[in-house]
Amino acid sequence: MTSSDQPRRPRMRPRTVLRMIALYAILLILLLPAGFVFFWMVSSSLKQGVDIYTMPPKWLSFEPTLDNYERAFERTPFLRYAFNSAFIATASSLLGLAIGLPAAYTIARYNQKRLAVSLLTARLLPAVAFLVPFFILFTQVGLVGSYPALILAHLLVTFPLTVFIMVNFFEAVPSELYEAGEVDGAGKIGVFFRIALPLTKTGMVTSGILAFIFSWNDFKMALVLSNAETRTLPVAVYNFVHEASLEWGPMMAYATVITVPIIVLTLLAQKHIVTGMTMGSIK
Amino acid sequence: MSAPHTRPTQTPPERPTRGKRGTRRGGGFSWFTERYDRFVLPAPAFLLVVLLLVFPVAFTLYMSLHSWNGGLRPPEFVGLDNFARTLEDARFWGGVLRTGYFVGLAVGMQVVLGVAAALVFHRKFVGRGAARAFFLFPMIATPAAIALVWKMMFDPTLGVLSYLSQAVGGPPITWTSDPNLVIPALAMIDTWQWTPLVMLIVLAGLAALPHEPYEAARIDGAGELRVLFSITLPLLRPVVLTAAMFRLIDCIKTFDTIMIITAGGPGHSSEILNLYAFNQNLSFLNFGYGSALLVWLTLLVFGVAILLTIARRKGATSS
Repeated sequence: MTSSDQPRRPRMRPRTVLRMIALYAILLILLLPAGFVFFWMVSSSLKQGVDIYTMPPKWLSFEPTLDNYERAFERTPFLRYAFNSAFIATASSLLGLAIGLPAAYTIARYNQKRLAVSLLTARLLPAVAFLVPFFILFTQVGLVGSYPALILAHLLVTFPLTVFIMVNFFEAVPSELYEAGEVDGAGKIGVFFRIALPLTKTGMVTSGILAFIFSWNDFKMALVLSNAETRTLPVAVYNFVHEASLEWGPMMAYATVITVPIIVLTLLAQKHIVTGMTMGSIK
Repeated sequence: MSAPHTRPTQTPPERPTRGKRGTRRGGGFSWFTERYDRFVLPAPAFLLVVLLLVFPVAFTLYMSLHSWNGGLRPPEFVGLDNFARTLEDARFWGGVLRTGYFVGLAVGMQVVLGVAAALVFHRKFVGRGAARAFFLFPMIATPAAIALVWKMMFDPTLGVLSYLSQAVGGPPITWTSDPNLVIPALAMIDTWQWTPLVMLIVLAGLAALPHEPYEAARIDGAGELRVLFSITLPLLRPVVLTAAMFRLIDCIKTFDTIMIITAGGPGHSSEILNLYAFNQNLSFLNFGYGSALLVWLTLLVFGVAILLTIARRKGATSS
């Protein structure tokens, strides 16, 4: 099974097969919880009202319908919320990169410990401790519900993440390359733009994707700072809870539609997500 | 997602030439940016930190010394009254205890499961990439959406978990509406969501382990379990500590899942400190008292972070 077993393989066969079976059995147990939640979300979204409430549940033997999706989209301006989510996530990821890249570069190159620590501290601050002052401030200046307010709030999510991931990528560039650039007369700022940035494109994609996902997923910022016009999808789906009759069908339809883009992104960019999440945490 | 990397790279044409001229002529703004590039480049980041960190912390400290409910009357200075009141507030202490209970339970479970999962995914097997992508799904999926799925699954009348439990002769599972079981239920959901992160960090640690001890063990003929407990796990300790540290810090700040599934209920039985601070501020508009709670919350997070950093350093020097 593993390469180290190869020399002894002929004798080990029956045990190897058993171990393979055991491995896949454990794997199944590991994957079951994620699979079940996902299955329950999607299947509920495709069930008719009655079928959702039936016990024992109709696992697969129900008439699939898109009614829930239709009702969910009719009742709420779904496209508007989807646009808000995508717009705020894109803007805050790009801004996070624009502000985070140069800082990550100097932290990596000049070993700026204090700057790194102050950014780490921003990463530690509980979002609620950030939200309350900003809610008060934005109320005073009439910015509650505005895109700039939401994008700024989402920077608290995207910006530290970007820096922590990018420091790794800038550090991975051999310092001789930076020095050679300076000797060639690129200038110090030029080295950043013409050597550091082109060599770390993968890192930018990685941190961009992760920043986008976590901004798209964020709930509390928009819960406090958005209004009916600028509401994002997670808050929109949460608002279903407050309606007089809990309608699980349309709610699950909404939940599915919010999650699917993220799943597609995960499948397409698995490598980026793996490296990004690992780096963003270890630093 | 091509936008993030096209944007910064489009800028070079103008800036570097400015920089080049600057160094040659030795004057003007570009001379300044060349000489102090290590401060100029991170300047926007520094300003953002002031805005995102220094302002909220300073404002919270100021507000915690005042009494204000958001009305037209200006905040009234009350000294340390708010802090004194928190010490006599049963709901505050309850929140602190529940935070500890929730975080301890959740992080404990996800660290054990995360290490186990990492050991599985460290092996080579057919379909590993797809299985890993699938395993990461809970961490990446939108928590607000997923929280609603859990809420539905735990529902007393149409909860599928209750059904499954009763189908095998167990009790109905209505944990989220049981004051004694709501925290374990929420800790379980947090574990569901964040075990993949622990797995990823430990997996990276496994890939970086030295080969020598394993070769020595093979020569000595040590069994697989023996190798796991005498070599792999001890060597992984710093990595596991790192993972636990990140989870501990973020777990204290858990908000979305609890807010959506129970909103702190039933009663206050799942109201961790984070939620109580949120409620005092944004539901009851007690900004003074609420800010005092936020100070405690922030101190708790920073305190845990500092303690863990020290523990990690000690661990690194002693081993």
